[in-house]
Amino acid sequence: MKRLAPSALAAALALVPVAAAQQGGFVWDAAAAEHLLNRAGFGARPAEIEAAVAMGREAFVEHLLTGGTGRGEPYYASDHMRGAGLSMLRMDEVDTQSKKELRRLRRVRDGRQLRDFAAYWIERMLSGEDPLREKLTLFWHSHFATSQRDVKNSFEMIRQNELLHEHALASFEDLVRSIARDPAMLEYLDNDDNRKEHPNENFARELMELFTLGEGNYTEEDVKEAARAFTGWTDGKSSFRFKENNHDEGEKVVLGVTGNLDGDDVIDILLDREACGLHVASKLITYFEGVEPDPDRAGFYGEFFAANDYDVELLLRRLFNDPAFYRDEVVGTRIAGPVDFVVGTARRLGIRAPARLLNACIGILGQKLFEPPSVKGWDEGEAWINTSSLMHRGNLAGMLIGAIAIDDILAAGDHEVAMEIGAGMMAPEKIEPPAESVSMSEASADSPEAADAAADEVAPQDGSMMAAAPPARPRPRLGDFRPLKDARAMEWEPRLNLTARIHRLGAEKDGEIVRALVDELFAIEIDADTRKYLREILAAERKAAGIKNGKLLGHPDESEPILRKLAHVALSLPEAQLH
Amino acid sequence: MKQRSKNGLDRRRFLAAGLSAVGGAALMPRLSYASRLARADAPATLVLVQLSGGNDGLSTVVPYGDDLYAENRRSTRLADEVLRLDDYRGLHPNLRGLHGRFQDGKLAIVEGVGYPNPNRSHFKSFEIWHTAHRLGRASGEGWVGKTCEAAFGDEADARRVVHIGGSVPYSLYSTKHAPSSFSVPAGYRWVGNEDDVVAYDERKEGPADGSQRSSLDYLRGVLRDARESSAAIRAAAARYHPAVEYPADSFAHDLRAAAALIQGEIGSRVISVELGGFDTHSGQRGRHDGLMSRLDGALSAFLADLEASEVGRRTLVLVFSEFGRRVAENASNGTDHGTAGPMFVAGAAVRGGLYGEHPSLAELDRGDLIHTTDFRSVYATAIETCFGIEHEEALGAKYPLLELV
Repeated sequence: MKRLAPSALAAALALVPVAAAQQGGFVWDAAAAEHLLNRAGFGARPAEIEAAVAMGREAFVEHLLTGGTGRGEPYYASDHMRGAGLSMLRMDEVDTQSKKELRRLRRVRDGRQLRDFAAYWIERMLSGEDPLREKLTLFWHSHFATSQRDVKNSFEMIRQNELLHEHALASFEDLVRSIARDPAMLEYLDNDDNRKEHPNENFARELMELFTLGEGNYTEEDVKEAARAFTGWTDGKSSFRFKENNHDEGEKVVLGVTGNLDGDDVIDILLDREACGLHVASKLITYFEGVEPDPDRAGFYGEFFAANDYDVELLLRRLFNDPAFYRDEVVGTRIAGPVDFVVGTARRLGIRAPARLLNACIGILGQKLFEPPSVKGWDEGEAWINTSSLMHRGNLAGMLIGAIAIDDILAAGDHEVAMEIGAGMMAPEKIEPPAESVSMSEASADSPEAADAAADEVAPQDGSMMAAAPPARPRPRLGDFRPLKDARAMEWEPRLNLTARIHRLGAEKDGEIVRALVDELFAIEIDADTRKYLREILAAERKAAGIKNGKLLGHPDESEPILRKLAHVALSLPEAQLH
Repeated sequence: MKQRSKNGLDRRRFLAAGLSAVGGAALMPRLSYASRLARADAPATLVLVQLSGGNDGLSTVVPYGDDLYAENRRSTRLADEVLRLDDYRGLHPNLRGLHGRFQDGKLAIVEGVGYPNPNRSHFKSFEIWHTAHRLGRASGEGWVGKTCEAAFGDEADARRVVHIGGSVPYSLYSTKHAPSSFSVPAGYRWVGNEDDVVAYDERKEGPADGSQRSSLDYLRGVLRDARESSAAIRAAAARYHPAVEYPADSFAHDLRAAAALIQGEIGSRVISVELGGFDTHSGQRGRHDGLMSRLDGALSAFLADLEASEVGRRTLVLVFSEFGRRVAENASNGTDHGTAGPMFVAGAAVRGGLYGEHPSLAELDRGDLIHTTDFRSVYATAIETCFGIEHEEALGAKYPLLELV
């Protein structure tokens, strides 16, 4: 079923904003270009900013929207959990003990593949070849949040990511219809269990609350009725399947529309609601601007979005050419998420760190890719920063620029000791969980990211109803830092040469060095007090090394650790968390 | 024949006026609280245990004596194995430690806790629980933040409100009394540049012109709180000696760290921890059983640990979830989002027993339980007990108190 044709309003709306933008009279300069690159991509390198300025705003926006190279080399994912990837793992020919071992191997491969794909994705972000599409893929990953913890199938998770990537800039309508048929989503929100005898409301509810309308724009009755419309929508062998026998053919009433509705009819009904355009457009604007649009602006964009067939590209063309996108309230005020912070820092500084290491850092800072905390995805903004994550941002940035070692971080938290103790926790024999209740440890015992959770699962799962949890030594909470242990095994060392970089920028004296370093490191302008504070640290370190002001860069053996230390402090500051 | 009624009114310690939260029940006399607060052993620390995802109340405090329970539940049904509280209700069989506490008169169970016009969205319902307001975030800061504002005014202390674990719940959200949070106490520090970072001037005053707080102001506030809490929390953890052995999972670890802060007396007045995984839409039985044993193992150890010290005995523990689950099971051997559920209240000062009223399985609202006690009554009781202030100053409205302390 096709949605209603857009009204004539669409054309009118499409014309108004451009005129408004020209009247705005705002300047397209390096600051504006950097702002756009920070928000529509993952931080900007100086050459990228120059090129964007030279191109002019509208042409550059056009380049962002349509000039990307996509994913470049595509990723080949194999289905470890079933199908071809399993040819050597024939389950019917082996004894029970071997089956367990084979299952474990499957999970190991599955976890490894998803981590590998995450690294591939991060490399695409780092490349800057199609930044907006990758940024939107990340947005949709949070909007249509789906977690490997529940799906337990890297093949389906990767397929979903490719789906989001493909539709990232196209029609939101297509995206919703595709996601409602996406195997990972069907499993994550239990629609594969949604049958007419006992409808499972999970997907129908989140479809309304999170994906389309927003909370408060439907009733509980609508949820129940919509769930009936999606009965029989399930998956088999990692593809969508409609099981007619499980589908409820009865009459349903959703948001006042009566009929023998199916899932697509419900999606039609939702897309026709004013709340849908408003909800999704506002969320996109908030993501890119960092502040919620006021009601007038939200209303305008919501109407614009819906009237233009929910075309994401049109919406963003309008937004990135809107003077309001470049207003003071927006520029330099958004709290960078972990991906923004880690990938952005790596890009600005040209740190050639392995993507797997960056992925580990991003996870520690609260944004484990493919494991959003809930179906609501990640909360943006201030929610990223608490006392702990602020400290860890500084620590991990210090590690990435070589100011401190991975071991320094692990030792500070006694994490190394924790891991030795924790290693023993992973081994115990696990009794098979009841059918339908595959435990987390079953699925991801090998995933470092999930290892702590897996260890947690050991006690309840092997205990079933009877056994008390086995006595164990109290152990520190490892989880989040475990990936650093892997990273340490890579024996990676930063190849950063801050001395040469600052020297190339013509800086000599302390004040000039700080200015140059700040330009390189930060996405925003900083005030005189913070500049002075950094200058004092630099001066103290320089004097301790017995070097005169203006001569530091001539002593690279001394200057490099000093500059790294200075950069480490800078990246630990509040200012470094903004873009 | 088994009983079908919500029985046992005589067993419940109701306030004279009754606690049907639907009507405006009379407030209990303030005098008893005032006199209790004067005592040196009055609770001083509040520990909030959040069960995220919507804990199935009917599988936690099980109305095994109700025929309607058996009719509605198949795969999740618990019968003879429940740990009996009386002829009508029993605790989940894995809640052995808590059952022992109940029998010793040290665990209060408040039944049928919820709020009017229940919202079945995890997120909205948590907002309501976290703000103690039907509007959720739109009403302002978290209820702990509002409580600190009422109890301590402008006098902020970064160690007062602490979350242990991952993401900080909105209940602790406050501009003046923002929480500190950590996962591993020893790792709660800046590595390699601590001296320099603490010298950063975070400009405590904020914007001079009274304009809205910017994200930079927020970040500077967090830096200040991190600086002011880091050393104290690490020191408390280093000094701490648990009186009991804790289980090995991370939830137990978090409660163990909470005990360290309490024993360390670093001024922590509200400590929050979280146990997730309760959103059991499918294959509920095995998952929920596991969660119950984790809850019981960690919480029992924690409570025993607290009992061993004087400061520990001055702790009040609240266990809550954003909602219970639907009475009838779904097709996936699971349950969908519901409404009311039980809360546990524990601590040396608590008078154990059943409070409130078990919600009826016969009179449902569109398949869901109708709450019998407003969760804000439990908050109100905790606020008055732990902070010695009138709860309406924090919650903005009056709620009947429970006489469970």
